[in-house]
Amino acid sequence: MTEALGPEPAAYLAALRRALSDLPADECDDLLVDVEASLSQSDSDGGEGLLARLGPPDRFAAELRSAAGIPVPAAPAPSRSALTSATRDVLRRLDSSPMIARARPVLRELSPIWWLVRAYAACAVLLVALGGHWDLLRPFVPLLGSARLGAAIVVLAAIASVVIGVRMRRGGFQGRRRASWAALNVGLAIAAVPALVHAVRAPIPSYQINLAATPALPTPGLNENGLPAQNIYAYTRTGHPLYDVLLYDGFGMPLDITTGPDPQRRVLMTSRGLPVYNSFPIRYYQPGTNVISHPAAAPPIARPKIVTPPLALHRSRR
Amino acid sequence: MDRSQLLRGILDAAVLAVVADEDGYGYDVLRRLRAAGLTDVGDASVYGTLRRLYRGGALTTYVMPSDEGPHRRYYGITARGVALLDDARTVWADFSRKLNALLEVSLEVQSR
Repeated sequence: MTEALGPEPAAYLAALRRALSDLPADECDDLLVDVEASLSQSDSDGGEGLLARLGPPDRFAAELRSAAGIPVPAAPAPSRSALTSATRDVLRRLDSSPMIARARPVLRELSPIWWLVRAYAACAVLLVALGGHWDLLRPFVPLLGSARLGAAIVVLAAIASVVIGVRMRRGGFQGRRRASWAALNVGLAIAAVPALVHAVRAPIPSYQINLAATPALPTPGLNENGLPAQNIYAYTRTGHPLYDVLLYDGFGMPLDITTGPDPQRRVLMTSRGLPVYNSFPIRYYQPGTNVISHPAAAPPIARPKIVTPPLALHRSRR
Repeated sequence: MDRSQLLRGILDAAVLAVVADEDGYGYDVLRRLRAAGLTDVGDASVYGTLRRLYRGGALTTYVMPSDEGPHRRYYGITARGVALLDDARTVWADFSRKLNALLEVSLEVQSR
């Protein structure tokens, strides 16, 4: 019978059949006989497009169903794919298991924690997708543009996630949209594992990065107790850290700490463009940027109470 | 006012009346309803209603060959359909008389 139809009506009819595929085949055929005949008829009548005249097939099928007094299925029409139906089957079985039933109220209470975790995981996925890095000193902050922007994005994502969570809990989103949110949740749950492992196994302070870039063999250069000095921090007597202090030995030779090629090390340059390796403390850029990592970075110090010794002149004065 | 909502409640009677007038196939019934002025009526609602009335025994069907395409399924009214239609006529006459009275009164009140 269908061979009498043009391609457009045939496609429309096929879409209707899909939308009604939960019905027994003969009932579906029965419902569609009149439609099919009218499609071939209106085909010859010509004029406006089918979609414009009849609306989307899904809605047409729903209207047909309701006018015919056939209850609309609770779930959206089952998909043909074996995988999704198998998944649905597993989910349904899980859903009805007594263990899940007992755990459900607890899980429901705990779900806000998950909302935050998934927001963080989403940011982590975004970071990895953009090929970004984590902040060196706050390893849980993704560097999206800058650390501050990254933190702001994490906060915004958390807010959005909570809004979605609350809406979902109140029964918002139906059918396909709800299902795709659920699928996204599963994806984020998987993504959350490496993201959280990273955040927990955290600190990679800058000197460790430096270590990795230094050859393992002892190098000629500045040493302390036989080991190469990684950095030198100078403080004023009142405890303020100093930056870009140039150190020289008694012969006027610069006390250099050179490292291998390290794009992250911030090296001062002379006006002639020569590198100055004796400026301390050595500081590092955030990976891939020219922003200095944590400008205040310096080890915490216990500053001794310093009293200026009396000058010899004073003592000699009687 | 949403005409399609109104129509939903009375579509059975309209379809029965059209078929009682003369047997017809789905698209034909739809066209005649539209020709009678029910331009809001949806294709799917009419076809669905036809099937429901048929299953409820108010309509009967038979197939006739057509020159223009596939065979057509014609609908005719049964004794049960006639009874339903008569019932609907009574209900509608009663209902519309009361509603007319009600709406006219309230229109007068409004215009004052």
